[in-house]
Amino acid sequence: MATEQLLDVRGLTRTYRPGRAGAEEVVALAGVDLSLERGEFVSLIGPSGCGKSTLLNVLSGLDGPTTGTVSLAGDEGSLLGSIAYMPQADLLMPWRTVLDNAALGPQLGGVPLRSARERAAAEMARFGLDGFEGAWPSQLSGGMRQRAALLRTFLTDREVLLLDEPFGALDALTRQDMQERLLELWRDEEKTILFVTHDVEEALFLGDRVVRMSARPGRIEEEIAVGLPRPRTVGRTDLDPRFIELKRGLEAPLRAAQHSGGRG
Amino acid sequence: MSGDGAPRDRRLRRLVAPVVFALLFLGAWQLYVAVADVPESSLPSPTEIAAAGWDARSLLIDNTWVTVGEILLGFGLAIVVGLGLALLIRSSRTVERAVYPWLVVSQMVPVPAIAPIFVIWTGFDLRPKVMVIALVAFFPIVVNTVDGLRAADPGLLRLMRTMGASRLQRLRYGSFPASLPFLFSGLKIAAALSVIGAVFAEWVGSSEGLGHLILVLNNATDTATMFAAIFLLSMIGIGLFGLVVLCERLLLPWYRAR
Repeated sequence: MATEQLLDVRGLTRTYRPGRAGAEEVVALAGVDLSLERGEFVSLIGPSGCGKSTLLNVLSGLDGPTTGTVSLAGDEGSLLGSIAYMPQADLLMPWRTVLDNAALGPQLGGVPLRSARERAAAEMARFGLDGFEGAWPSQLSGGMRQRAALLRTFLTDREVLLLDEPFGALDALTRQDMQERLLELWRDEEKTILFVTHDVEEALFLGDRVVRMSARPGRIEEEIAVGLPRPRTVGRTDLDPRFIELKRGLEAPLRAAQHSGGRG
Repeated sequence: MSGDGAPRDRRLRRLVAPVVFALLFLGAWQLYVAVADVPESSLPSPTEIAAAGWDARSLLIDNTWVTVGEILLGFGLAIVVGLGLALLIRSSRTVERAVYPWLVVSQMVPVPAIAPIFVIWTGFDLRPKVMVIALVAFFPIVVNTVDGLRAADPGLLRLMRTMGASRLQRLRYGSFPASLPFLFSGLKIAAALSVIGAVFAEWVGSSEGLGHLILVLNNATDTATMFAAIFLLSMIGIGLFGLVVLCERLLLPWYRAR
């Protein structure tokens, strides 16, 4: 029996015509093929300016493909509202408490605020937000804000989560804590995750597979199965000889791409 | 812990400087009038004003209520019209292009010149005053709210779209709450302007209210009572401003927590 492809990207291209007259078309994505099995955790890495953001915009439904298809559970319809998206900036609403921020997804889905709050309140502890229900986002540290944004993302109840460098702005210790927490939540909630990062270690630590994109025009250049045992923990997984070997293998082409052409 | 205290203490301490300044100012005024022997009809002393105000208290209070009523109605109308126009302007580019320049033009019309026309249209009742007050007060509300409706993080609005939010939901849960601090800035300016509007409106066509009373007292060269009326007008303005600040604190607790 073939494993089920939950998210399937075929021959995706995206070109832009810059505003200036006579300017040449920019090819952001040049034929991306990518598929995620149900329950899979895939890390996506690539040099800066490789079209990761463009890919995520198409996958989240904010932008359409120029050519190619994206299908979710076999459906090629609009993706807007059917995939959960978490950008690097937490984008918490400053006028809402942590609890009400987390409850946004269900509320937009038509759940009465009271029930949406109850759902969020029940999850606070698991996301490390216990006791911060009534806090304003401005009163939180970067790590706490990201936890709140993560909870908001999970509470949208989508099967597929697109996480765009969600821990990129956090300090190393907070980031490790968030990575382990994310893996637990992924396992417990049986989500399918596409995790974009520029950090090779993070990609290997989290993913079942790591997908590497080329410099612009972006396409998938390499896919590796990580195959490190789970549950993964800091201090064990990252010292595994296989981890170190995979890391070396991934870093070399990234470094080369960064030097030639890829935007700073 | 010498610098800190309970919040109440700190608030009281902040009041000390302006109160001391006011007392010094009033003392200097009193002294100047006494020493330079200024006639009461041109500059009464603070104590003379207080005495004249006390003597005319029922007249002053009756007229204060008239003006307060006009201002509350005009200010309320300005809020409704201002918010409505701001939402309309932000609803489409075309509407914005068509309406926005005329808002600016509406502020070029000299209020003392247009007030008599309102009186011709509606007569000597409450309506022309409410219209004049609304005319001067709605402008800062619209302009600030239009800016505020643009202030929401575009990333947030995009995120809301990925969450399946409709246009109306993005306005209701995104752009509108983001605009509220701007709306309140507009309301504070509008509060001050609406008092000026009330005085203008009463000068043009009224038989009551503090603005009208000031004209009558001026003709009678009862300068001391006139000053008392001016004092009450200022109190109305300060009260309205305080009301706006109070509402802001109650409705936007997050804004002060930043």
